[in-house]
Amino acid sequence: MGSIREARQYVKRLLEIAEQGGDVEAVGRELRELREVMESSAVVSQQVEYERQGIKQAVVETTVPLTGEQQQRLSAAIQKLLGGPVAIQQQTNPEIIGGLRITVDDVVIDNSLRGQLARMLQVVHQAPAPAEAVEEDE
Amino acid sequence: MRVNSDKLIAALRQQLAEYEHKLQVEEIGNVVEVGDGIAVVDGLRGVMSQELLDFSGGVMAVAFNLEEETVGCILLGPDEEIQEGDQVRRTGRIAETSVGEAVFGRVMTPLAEPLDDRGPIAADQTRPLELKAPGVIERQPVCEPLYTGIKAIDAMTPIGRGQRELIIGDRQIGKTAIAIDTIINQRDSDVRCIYVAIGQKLSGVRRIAAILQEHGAMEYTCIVAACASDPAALLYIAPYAGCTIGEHERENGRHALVIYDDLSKHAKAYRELSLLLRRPPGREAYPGDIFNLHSRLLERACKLSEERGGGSLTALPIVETQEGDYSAYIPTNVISITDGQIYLEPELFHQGVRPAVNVGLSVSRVGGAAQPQMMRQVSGRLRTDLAAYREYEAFTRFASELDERTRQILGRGQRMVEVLKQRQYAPLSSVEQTIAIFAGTRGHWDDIEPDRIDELEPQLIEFIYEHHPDVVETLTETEEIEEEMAQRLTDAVEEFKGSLEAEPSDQE
Repeated sequence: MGSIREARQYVKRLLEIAEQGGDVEAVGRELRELREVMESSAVVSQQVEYERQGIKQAVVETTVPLTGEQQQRLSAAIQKLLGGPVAIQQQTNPEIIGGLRITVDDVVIDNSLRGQLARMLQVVHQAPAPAEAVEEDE
Repeated sequence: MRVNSDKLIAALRQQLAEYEHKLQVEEIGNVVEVGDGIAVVDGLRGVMSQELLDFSGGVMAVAFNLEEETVGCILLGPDEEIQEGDQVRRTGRIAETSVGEAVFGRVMTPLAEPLDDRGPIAADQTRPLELKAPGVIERQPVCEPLYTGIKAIDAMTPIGRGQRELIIGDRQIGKTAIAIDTIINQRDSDVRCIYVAIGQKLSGVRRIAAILQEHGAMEYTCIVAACASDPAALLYIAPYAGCTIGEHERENGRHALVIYDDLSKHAKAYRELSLLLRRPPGREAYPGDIFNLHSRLLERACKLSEERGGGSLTALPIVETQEGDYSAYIPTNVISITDGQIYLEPELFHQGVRPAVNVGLSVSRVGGAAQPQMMRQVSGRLRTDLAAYREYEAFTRFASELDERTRQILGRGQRMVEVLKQRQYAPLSSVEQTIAIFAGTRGHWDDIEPDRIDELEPQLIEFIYEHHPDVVETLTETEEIEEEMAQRLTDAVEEFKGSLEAEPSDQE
């Protein structure tokens, strides 16, 4: 149970089962357990707290850890962009090769090397095949 | 085959020269559930209905059910590679297909991927699959004929440009044959054709393409195929793709004909998707909006007003019935949407009456206005003659004991049935049809054995074209057959019959 979103999905499914004439008592028990798990997880309770205060959470992915000063500048920039308080969660992810990728809710601001390569590949795929580069063998 | 790396690098460099690095802002979601050709995605808050979604791995999907937290989408490709948790991107585009010159002469999927061996489809224009039909002001009544080249249809249930005429009947009795003949008959007209194959065998589609090719009809025809093995979503969008291609022609003042073969399979594909997306089932387990599914498709066929360019899109939907049950759900729906139907009957087909059109049940509600005066004149008595024949048909077995009048009606009816028979892939021009039907309705065949008509009719047409080109010319130019013209035609037919008696050896 890594995030509030997953928990929400889970609860929704449980309620659906209850609605279809499932064991309401069992569903209730399950929900109480879920709450305990959620509250015991530091990450999740932090998320709940942010959501309550209306603070958006941005996940920033880079290949190397950001310095304190870089983080502050980035945080100021993102706050300006979204127009509200933002909590930054930093992750290192070697898969993006270089640059950085910022995820806020459903929106991804992709400035990673990997993303650029993927888009270049798309350009090449869409262009007609270079016929002159292929020579027929006798 | 060898690849020249220098040239390849140069080509790549050139292609990438246009690439410009921009900060990419995307909206993403995650797959929650996938299977049976549908996927449920969490996130994608800003997604539009019918928007194309890009699943990692290159599979595309269309957003279908927009719910509070999730989006239900239909996959346009295989779902095997997609896993729970995969990222899904918005594309910002509504589902669309390629249109214009480049698609004609091609066999392709509804998303304009080629199915023939002629390389990518180099279309420079695309058009959304779902568009609203033109309004009342933008239309005009059907006024120009669209010849199918089939005597039984052009004479009795004429079709006009912009009309929707349903072809309905059981399996294997020549529904597709009528559609193919109609396409072939457009070779001398300015009508572009689109044949949409929904849920058919690939081998069947291949065969149709070969037949059209053979008759020189492929160059103005586009085949949109979603085959039996394709995901239901592709079958569902196929007719809309075909319609969009035709609409593009219509909007540009040209004429197009689109054939949906067939809409019963389309309805089944939509039922499958709807049930998987947990939409509530209705009659025959079809969802509640199954009527709208077909009406919004067929409403897009129309004749535009002169201000809008006067283009037209004619639709020939095909519906398959089970055991002749045309009062089932889908057939009645489509019958009520269209401007008439051509009803094919298995009994007629097996008796050798081909095309097996049931004249009594077939109607064309608006095509009459588009039928040329000439054809109306010669075919006027056809319907009544045939109706009288059907009424007396039961007495045929007592042939010897019948009175003269009944015998006459029966004789005429039998010959008219023969006249309306026609071979496949042999559409006739309107003048040829006029001659053939004229000979029948004016009683010129009455003293000829019915089973010889099939063989004599082409000879008659050839004879008139050869020996009386003036008659043919007048028929081509004028709209009406005047008294004097009718006399000349009569004389020509009699002359032909005279020539038969003169050289009987030719007929043996």
